[in-house]
Amino acid sequence: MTEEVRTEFHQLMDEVRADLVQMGGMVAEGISAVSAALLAGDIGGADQIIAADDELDLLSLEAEEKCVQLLALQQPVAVDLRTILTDLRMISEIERSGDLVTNIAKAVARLHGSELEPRVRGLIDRMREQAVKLTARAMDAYAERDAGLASVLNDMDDVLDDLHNEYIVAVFASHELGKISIQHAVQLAVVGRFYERIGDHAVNVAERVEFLVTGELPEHLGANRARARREQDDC
Amino acid sequence: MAVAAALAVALVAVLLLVRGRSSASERLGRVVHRFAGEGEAPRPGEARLDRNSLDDWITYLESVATTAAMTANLAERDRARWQLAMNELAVGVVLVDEDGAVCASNALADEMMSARDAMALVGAGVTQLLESAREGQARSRTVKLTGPPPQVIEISGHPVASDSHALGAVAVMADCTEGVRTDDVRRDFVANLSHELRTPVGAIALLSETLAGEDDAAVRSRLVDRIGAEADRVRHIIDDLLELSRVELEGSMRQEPVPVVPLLGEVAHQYSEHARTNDVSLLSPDVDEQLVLHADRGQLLRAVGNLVDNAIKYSDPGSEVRLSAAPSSREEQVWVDVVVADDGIGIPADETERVFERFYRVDKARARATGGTGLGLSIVRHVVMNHGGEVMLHTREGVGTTFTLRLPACQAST
Repeated sequence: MTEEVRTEFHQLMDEVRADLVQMGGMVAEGISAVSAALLAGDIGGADQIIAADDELDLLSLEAEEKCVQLLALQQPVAVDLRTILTDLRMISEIERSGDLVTNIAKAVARLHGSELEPRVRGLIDRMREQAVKLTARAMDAYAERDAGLASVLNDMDDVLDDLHNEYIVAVFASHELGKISIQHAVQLAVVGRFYERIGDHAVNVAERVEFLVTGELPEHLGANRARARREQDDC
Repeated sequence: MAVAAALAVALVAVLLLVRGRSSASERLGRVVHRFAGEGEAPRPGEARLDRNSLDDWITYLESVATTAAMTANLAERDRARWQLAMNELAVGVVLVDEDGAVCASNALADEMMSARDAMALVGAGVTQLLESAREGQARSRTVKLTGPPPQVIEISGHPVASDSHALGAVAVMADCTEGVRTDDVRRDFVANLSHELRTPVGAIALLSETLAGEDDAAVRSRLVDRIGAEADRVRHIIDDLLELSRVELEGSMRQEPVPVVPLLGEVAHQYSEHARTNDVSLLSPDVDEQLVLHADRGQLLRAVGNLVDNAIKYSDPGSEVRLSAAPSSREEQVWVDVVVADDGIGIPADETERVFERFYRVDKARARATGGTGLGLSIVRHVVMNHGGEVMLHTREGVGTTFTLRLPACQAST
């Protein structure tokens, strides 16, 4: 590669990185905004959030096109190739988190008229806090190429999982007391699941970063075991 | 500076090589003069320095190098001064060159641009604005972040050009959260005040009208009760308003040593009946007898009382409200933290800033049913401000609320 081509190449890679950080920011803001709309029963606000997802979709398409362009025209190798492959996977992870935000927004209208108990509201707020934190830290890991954060993300996700379980119990306890209908309880349980899934996507991002930096994926361990078993069977 | 030193060394080497060749030494002389600038050091050929002496050339180079080092040093200090001054700015500033590479930025800008949470939207916006500014277009935009805490960031990009020759672009990020909040507070205050005062007065007018045309004794007595209740509400609001303005006017004029244990005891006694009727136990375990505040006793009774009153009101029957105090030190000063904690319904995260505003209510229906005026926490905050302390609020919906009043300790007691 000539010097000029190389600069152009790295500029485009930097652009993709900036796009991804922006997408992460959009998801983080989306989680906060949708939680506020959910707690306030603000259907108008939820509609705005649903509309804002188009912006995220557009950005993810643009970033994907840039990655394809890089792959097709530059035929990168080694860490550059890993970076672009990681970027491609990350685009879909973040885009998916954005969809989950949209799903929560859609639930706001379905939950109209239900009075949430303080305990349930508090747990939604804590899941919001944890999901935002996970998303931001995953983007930190990506932007800083910090493989060590991946394991931290796993622990943080455990906290979100625990909150999710606690939340489900609280929602159905609230239903038992006759505070909310069964329809609303089920709807709320699904909403909790969306928060929990956002956390899973953040962990996926961190695992991809680990692959980017080290070339190893957690799945490799399992894959190696499977390979060893297969060889044993062949003998 | 390093460049100047290297140049000097290289020039000396070349000079050694070309010694004796006068045209070469002439050219070298001109090169060195260019680095030296006008009239800085005496040059070989003038002021007793011999044009053909290597020693004199070296002397000259040495003085040029020293001056260059000093100039570089000054430039470095200039840059550091600018950087430190920029870091003091209340806005973020990023300067890019004509290719879009960042050549200067202050600390606040670095913080905002490296954010990966929702604040990353500010960074992305700034990048876009800088791009259009480099093409000669000044634009601005407002980025609103939900939080909590909510934030409003005003960002703008401006082209940097001298005589229509583009040199780059500058972006400014200003946190307008406080300004927007103050506007909200002012608007809501007027609306809430008129609502709070008009509702009971309107009700009294209506009820007395009905009373005038009513003959049934039972209905009449019910109407009279209602009028009395509404009048009580107005009286409470006026009492609290007067109390608040008194606290504001008085400042912290009458400060005296106030032992904490009797203070908390008096508050607990005052609200014991209220606690009993709500089936809430009011506890104040193990408070250090030695703690003494330097404060206005009357104001403190009111502030802690308001917090206990709220804690009881917003707790479920059977739960407890805890009153405690502990010493803490910060910035060389000794403080006492007076803490009121409950396991009640809590305050929504996005309301924690606003609950201290006059007449602000989280849940209007419940607050009115429990007989609050919407001024209790405003009074608390003002009392603490009068003492130079601060109020800290930790809360979670469905878990509970903890208010901490950090107040000055009496120095003699420590």
